[in-house]
Amino acid sequence: MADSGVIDGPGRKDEIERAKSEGKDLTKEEKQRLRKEKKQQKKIKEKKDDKASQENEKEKKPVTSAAPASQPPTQPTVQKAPSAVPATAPVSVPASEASVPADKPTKTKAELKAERRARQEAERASKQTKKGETGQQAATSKPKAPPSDLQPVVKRLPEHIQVDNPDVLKKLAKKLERQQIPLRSDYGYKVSLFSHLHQYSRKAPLTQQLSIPSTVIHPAIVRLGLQYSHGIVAGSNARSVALLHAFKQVIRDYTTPQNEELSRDLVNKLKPYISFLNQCRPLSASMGNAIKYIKKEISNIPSNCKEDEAKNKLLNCIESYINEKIILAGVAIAKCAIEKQKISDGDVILVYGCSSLVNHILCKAFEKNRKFRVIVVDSRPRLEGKEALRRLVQKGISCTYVLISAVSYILPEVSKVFLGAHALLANGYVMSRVGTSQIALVAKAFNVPVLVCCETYKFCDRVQTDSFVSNELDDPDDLIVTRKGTTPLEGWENESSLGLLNLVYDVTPPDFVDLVITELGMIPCTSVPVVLRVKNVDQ
Amino acid sequence: IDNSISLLDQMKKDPDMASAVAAIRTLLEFLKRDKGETILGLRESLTSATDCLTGVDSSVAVSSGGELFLRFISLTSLEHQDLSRCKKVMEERGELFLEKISMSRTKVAKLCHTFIKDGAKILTHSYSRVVLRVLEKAAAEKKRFSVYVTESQPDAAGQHMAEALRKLNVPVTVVLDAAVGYVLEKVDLVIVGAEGVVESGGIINKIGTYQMALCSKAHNKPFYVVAESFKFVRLYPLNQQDVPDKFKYKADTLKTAKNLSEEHPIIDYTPPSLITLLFTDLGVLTPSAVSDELIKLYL
Repeated sequence: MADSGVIDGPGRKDEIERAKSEGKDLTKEEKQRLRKEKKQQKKIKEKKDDKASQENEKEKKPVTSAAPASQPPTQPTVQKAPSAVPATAPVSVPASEASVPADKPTKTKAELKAERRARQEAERASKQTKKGETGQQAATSKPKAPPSDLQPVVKRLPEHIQVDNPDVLKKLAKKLERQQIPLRSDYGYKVSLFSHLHQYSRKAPLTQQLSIPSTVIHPAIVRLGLQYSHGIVAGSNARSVALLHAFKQVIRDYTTPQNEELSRDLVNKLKPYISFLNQCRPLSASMGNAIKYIKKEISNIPSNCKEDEAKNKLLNCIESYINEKIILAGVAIAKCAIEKQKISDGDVILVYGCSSLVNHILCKAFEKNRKFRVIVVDSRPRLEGKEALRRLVQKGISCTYVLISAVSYILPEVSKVFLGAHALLANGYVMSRVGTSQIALVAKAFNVPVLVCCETYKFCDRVQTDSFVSNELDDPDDLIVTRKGTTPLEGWENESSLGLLNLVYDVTPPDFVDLVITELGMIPCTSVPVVLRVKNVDQ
Repeated sequence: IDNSISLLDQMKKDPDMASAVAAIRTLLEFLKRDKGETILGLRESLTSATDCLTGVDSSVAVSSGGELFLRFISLTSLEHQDLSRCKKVMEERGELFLEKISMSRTKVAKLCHTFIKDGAKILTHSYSRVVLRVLEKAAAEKKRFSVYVTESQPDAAGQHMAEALRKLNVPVTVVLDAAVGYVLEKVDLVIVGAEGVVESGGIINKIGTYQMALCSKAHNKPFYVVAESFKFVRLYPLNQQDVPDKFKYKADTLKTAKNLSEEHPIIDYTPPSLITLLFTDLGVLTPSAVSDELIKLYL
């Protein structure tokens, strides 16, 4: 019935005009007006089909995939809520459309009734959206624009998860051109579930497209970008510290141009650097928080401050940030873990991959003469566990090394699992290296306590319930390995139906995590928003 | 310090008072009699007094009550220059704290009795004064309910509870500790007290509580905990083994026993995933909200 409504569009419109001028009864006119609005919406929707429908599909997917899975109690972010509103309209319309063709062959009185009911449902749904969009100042509303402005209902999604949207790519290309930074092109066939993410090849670094000498980007930043993209600097703490050191160099070499204020000009100078680093490797949550802090500090510099003074102040700020949030936090977390008896004699501790914080805790505990042994779990293609193994064995801790496929075999021996985190999300989910949620799941099945160690500067305001929406795709060529002279995956680009997927992060739900150790103390995973709230109050 | 211990025994003669309240009253008396010269000295002597009290009665509640008392009074000590004025302020705050917590049981009872419907069958564990107060309030509201109490060996405290309930004319049945799984299909809800509420939202209570919680989870029956807010303690056990030994065994056992692994623990830890709701004088909380409240209390 919704179909027929659209088809009769132009005819109906004239009728409505006539009805309006003749002043027919309001309810019928209202109904027709609603139908007209719905048609308008559909037209606008079709116009921005390439923009919105992709997002809606993507939103629908996590919405529907979240429904069968355990739904977290927190509301979806503002980002998702307004986009769910237009999503419900197309969902209800296809639903009614789906029911109608089925009814078409046998049009009994009951079927006609059902069609009428379906039409009413569709109108009610459009009425809801119309109500939402015609500026009803309800408490829950955010961007409630008139029907022609469906666009701003969706809050600005970050660019790096909209790669399959050509309009967003065009905007990004324009922005990078303005900042004189080369655009890095995607490489290889992307698995369809992750086609909204970037996938770069390590063999084509961004710096090949840079002119020499580059006047826009500071050499320290160029070096940092290369180190990121080649994996020389890896791990969220290491990346943040390297970033802050590079920024310190930038500030030292900076001179305020004439007629410009340091507080505003420096922030503008940093923007292309950040875009460049983002192109080399997507920013991590910890780096994002550090950048926010620096920008705030820079913009808080009073305008009457002399340049040298200001630069010194900024350098000191950065130094103290590194010291407090990273180094001292690590010391406090180690102290907390050891004193509160989280590592006791006779423990068998399982660690995954290489987390600088977890290694630090274990080394400190060993220095305090706790008797324990460690099982290091590793996984391809990064094999970061080898680095962790090297550091622990150097200290003299007795270790065992297994691959992740053997984790259910050794878990009966394990008394505790220590995991590091890349970021802690606002709904209590832990974002960490891919494979972490697998280990947490198996540990839960064996009733082994899982402890996550994380500094508070890695807590971020984002909310995510699955690993698809926002992730990082690493170079797919890393998965190719040569064994006994043969390389099975060598010509994978030529196979049209073959895709290689090299994910970097995954997301662990809070029910699998027993305890989070931060420098503020030991908290359950569900208390992360409390800490965020306390931190915001402090600032 | 000797007179503190005698004071504590004196307080214990009033059986209706929680052991933590008695401890706090003792500490208040100690504060009044203290002749120290400095604030730091005062705090140190109070801490040592608390340690001494836990040496007499090693329950979780005593240690948590002591720590909370210390925090409550020392939040103001930095404002006044004169030591005696400081002490006066501390004493006043101590009295205030004591008053607040003696009202807490009534507040809890007021919140909880509405969850007991007419005709309900309740299961409870061992002797808990808070649960008794809740059931008293429910009976006063003319609700008809019947109670199953576990015997709760080794001290048969359940019998004590059953007698108290009989005085209220509530039909009560004493069951064996081993019969919890058997009786759970007949009951509608489970209410237990707590000796301590830990940071994760779990509770520390008389041994046998963990079993009861597991069984009620398996039968999908709600498991309610009633506890006053001074029982919140800064502990985060991951499993049974992680609970410190000084809480698991009675104080005299700790002093005399040679090999602790041969002794029977008197408390166990119930993780928050098995608890439906906690009724406290701060309100009705879910286990995840306990951490929120603890952060407010302690930080």
